[in-house]
Amino acid sequence: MTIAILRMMKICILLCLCLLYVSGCATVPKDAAGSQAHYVDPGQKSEVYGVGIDSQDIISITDEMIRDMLSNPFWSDSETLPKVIIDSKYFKNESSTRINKKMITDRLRVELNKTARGKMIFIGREYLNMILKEAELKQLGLMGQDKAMDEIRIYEADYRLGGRISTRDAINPKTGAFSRYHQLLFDMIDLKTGAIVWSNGYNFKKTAQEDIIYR
Amino acid sequence: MKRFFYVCIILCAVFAILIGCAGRQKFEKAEIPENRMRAFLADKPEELKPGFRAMLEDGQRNYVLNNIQVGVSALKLGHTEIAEKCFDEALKHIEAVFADNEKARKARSLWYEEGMKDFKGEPYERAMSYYYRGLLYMLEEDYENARACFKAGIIQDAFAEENQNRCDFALLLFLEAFCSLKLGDQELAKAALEEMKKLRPDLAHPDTESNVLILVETGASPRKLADGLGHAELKFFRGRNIVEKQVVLYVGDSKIMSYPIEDVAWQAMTRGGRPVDKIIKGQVAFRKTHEKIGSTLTDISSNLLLANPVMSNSDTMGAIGTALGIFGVAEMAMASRTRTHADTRYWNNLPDTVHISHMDLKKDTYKLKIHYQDETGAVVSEDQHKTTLVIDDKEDLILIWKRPDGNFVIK
Repeated sequence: MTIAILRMMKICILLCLCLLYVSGCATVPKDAAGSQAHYVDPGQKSEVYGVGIDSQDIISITDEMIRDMLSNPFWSDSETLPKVIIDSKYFKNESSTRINKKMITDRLRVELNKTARGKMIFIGREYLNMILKEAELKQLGLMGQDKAMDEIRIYEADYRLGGRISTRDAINPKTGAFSRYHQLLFDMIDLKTGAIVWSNGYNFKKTAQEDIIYR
Repeated sequence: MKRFFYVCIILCAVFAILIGCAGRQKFEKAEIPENRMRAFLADKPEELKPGFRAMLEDGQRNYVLNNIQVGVSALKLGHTEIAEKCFDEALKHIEAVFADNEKARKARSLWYEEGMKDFKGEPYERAMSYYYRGLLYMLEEDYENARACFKAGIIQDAFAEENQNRCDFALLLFLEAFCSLKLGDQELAKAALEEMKKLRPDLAHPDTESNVLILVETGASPRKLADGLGHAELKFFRGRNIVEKQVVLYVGDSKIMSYPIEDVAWQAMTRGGRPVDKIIKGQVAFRKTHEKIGSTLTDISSNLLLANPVMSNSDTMGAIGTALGIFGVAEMAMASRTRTHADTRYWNNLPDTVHISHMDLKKDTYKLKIHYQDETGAVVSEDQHKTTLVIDDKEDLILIWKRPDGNFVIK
């Protein structure tokens, strides 16, 4: 009899332990303590990302465009240094991805400027107002130095960057799967003739599926 | 010894019931040191402080919800920069793909409520987040990103259309077309307007000459309630006490009926079944099965214990009866630990309906007055703000966003 009771008590204890286990006593998640801010490589995939354009995409896109532009120089026939405008004005976003287009065109210009090593002149058309303001001050004679107005010569551009970002989205409401195909086209326009002297594109497609709890 | 044994059993049973009766899951608020909270709220407008306080206290779980709610409140007060930041933060989380996420895993489990997950909203809420961010881009004349927002909102809505695989959010289609027109992308505008025409055939299309766009939002937000066995079923209902049904605009000498382009509550109520509902249904079935097993075992146990004194091998039968009893109680406790309550958190300052008007006004100054009417056409309230539209350049767009409580954003 005593053995039977002892056995039963063991069962009781085991059951209590099981209950404690299934009651799901809050386990501390691995990331409960958070993490200090730290540097990560912008060219690498980050921990948080969606199907849009991420930092590693911007770096890959611009790097490829620069390589292609320098290996197929559209200005090679030109006798003088080509004057180029690379900004976001004619680079259109027709996609479903929100993006600051300047992140692409600025990197393109800066990296190209570094790599081209003086083989072309970059015109900062977006700073035109700044130049005009300076000219106004000079005109008013407020600059101290008696410099003539004709010293200001704004370059006429030979080429300007254009292009387009477009997307094609696909979803499956039943599975929560979705994908976005991005197509980025870059054109260099000859401003005297309208000819497209250089062109290249970059495509990528991302697909994802949300946890079922969010579908 | 026997007495000790039975006391032990009773204690086990009580213990089991105590930990078993879990009730609703409690979500604790973080205790933020007062000096940190003060510093965080220091530069925030007084009216928005409660929302920002909640943002810090609720943490990640309600981060998106608090941001979208504060975003709309900021927009109402004309703090467009704050609204932009709030919607950017919310969309950052909405756009991030939550796969292999710890909280999502827990929310799927038997022992946690669905409300454990970080809020990302239902498709209508995600679509509306894109709508507001799009409007804010329009205010800055960034029509490309505005259009991207409206397109992304359309995709979110398509997730809700289980049987259609296409969007029926006319408001977003209209705004997408409007932005395309402003950008001179006629083909894209035409495609969006054709889609919209299928949904709202009687709405006049905008054109490149349209230079005034007035959006008026009326009524209270759609609600979510948990219904059915174990409160496992998520149901959507229209907001309460909605009196404003029609919007009449007086622009100069003209009277214009604003077009009710989007019924937000209808968007919420007509979404197809959520895949997560199947999981919750499974949890309810689990609960029911274990409750049944538990109650059967405890019934057998009590019968055995009652019959125990008259049986020859009473000790063995008593032990079996007790074991079954404990097992039964354990089963019942496990069943009651199952958390099946659906997630009823919802965006509480959304409108019920969005009314739209677009017009092509000549260079001049116009007085704008707005009347809100009920279903019968009786005026229930009127705009307290005297708005003046100054058209000095036909190319510029004047965008007005308005609610009956007298707040608006004008560009």
